[in-house]
Amino acid sequence: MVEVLGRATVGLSQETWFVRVTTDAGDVEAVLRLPTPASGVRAIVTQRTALQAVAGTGVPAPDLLWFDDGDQNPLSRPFIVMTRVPGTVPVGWHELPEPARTYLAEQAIDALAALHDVDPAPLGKPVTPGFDFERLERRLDRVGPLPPVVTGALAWLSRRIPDPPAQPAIVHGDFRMGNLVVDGDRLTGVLDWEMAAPGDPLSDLGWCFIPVWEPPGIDEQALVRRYAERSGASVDPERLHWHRVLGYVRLAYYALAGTRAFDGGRSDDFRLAALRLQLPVTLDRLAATLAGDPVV
Amino acid sequence: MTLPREAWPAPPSDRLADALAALAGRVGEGDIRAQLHALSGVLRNIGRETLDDEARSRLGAELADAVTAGDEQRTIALMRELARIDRAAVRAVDWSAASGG
Repeated sequence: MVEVLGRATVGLSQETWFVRVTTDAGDVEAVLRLPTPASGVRAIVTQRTALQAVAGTGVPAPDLLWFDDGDQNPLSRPFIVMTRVPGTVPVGWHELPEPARTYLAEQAIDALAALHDVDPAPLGKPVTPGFDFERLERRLDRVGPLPPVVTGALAWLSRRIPDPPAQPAIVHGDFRMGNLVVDGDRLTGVLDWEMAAPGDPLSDLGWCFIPVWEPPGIDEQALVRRYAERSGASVDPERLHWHRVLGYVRLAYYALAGTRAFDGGRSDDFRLAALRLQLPVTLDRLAATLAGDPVV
Repeated sequence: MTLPREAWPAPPSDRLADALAALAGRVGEGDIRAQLHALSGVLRNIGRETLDDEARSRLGAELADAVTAGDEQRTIALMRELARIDRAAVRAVDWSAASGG
């Protein structure tokens, strides 16, 4: 039996419900995820594949309990049911007091290194940095006129597209504090696997400390060294820098796309309307990153 | 006697934003709370921008020229300048933190 307990604080894409699953062995607190028109069906199938790939590997992630990739079920849509990870999701690194912030950031890096050690083959063909760049460029083309700062960044990126990685890995695709569950001073789970794909592991490392809101306030260089130690891989600083710049452009894309979805009447979500206020902040941080200045 | 230009005085956007944020604080559902805080942030910024359009247009044109010429150093310097001006004109809102995630 499945009892719906309530809807989780809603993200901007999929539906997430807290449920209780009653089995012969007892009750399990669980999470049900369903696609929306915005996320598409593929998001659910990708999450299912990724959760299966990392199960039992030491990567902290929910356990997959039940899934259906099709629509011949009472929900008429694909779904996954997974265990509910204990803890909360802090808004950002800056919210956490020290020394817990550093301790948790180290655990996040260890989780990332463990993830990148998992065989990526079940998730399909690797995505190259060049493909990542071109996909983002196409998406930006579709949102209309671009701020000149984005145009300048795209020109910079296009001249330095890295070669495909020697060792592709499972890239989470949105590995950042907003998708990490924290219980006290322990990282208990990594959520939201819908963007997972085989690719360049440094894209996760470049993305994970890019601030959506406030700067993280952590020693990023020390964490990059830790990642190199844990993963046994050398981290090319120029390659990481490229991914970080691409990450800021991606964040700018989200702000532009959200703003235009609201303005065009495709969504009535005021959070999308407010993303326009985040755009100048993101572009300023993007320019600072390119200039080698501190990000504030 | 000079009459006001409007038949009724519009409330100041800051007051609307404050009142909306207070209302958001009383809402139990996280999704709605976050949306109200986001709307409050938008209201707070309406009519506040005091950008120097001429300077921005000039910088934008110079930046486009620098990109076309492949002058990266100048491109980045102009990006920095333009982004700084735009950021200074906006009061960003962290609706996620304001609404408790």
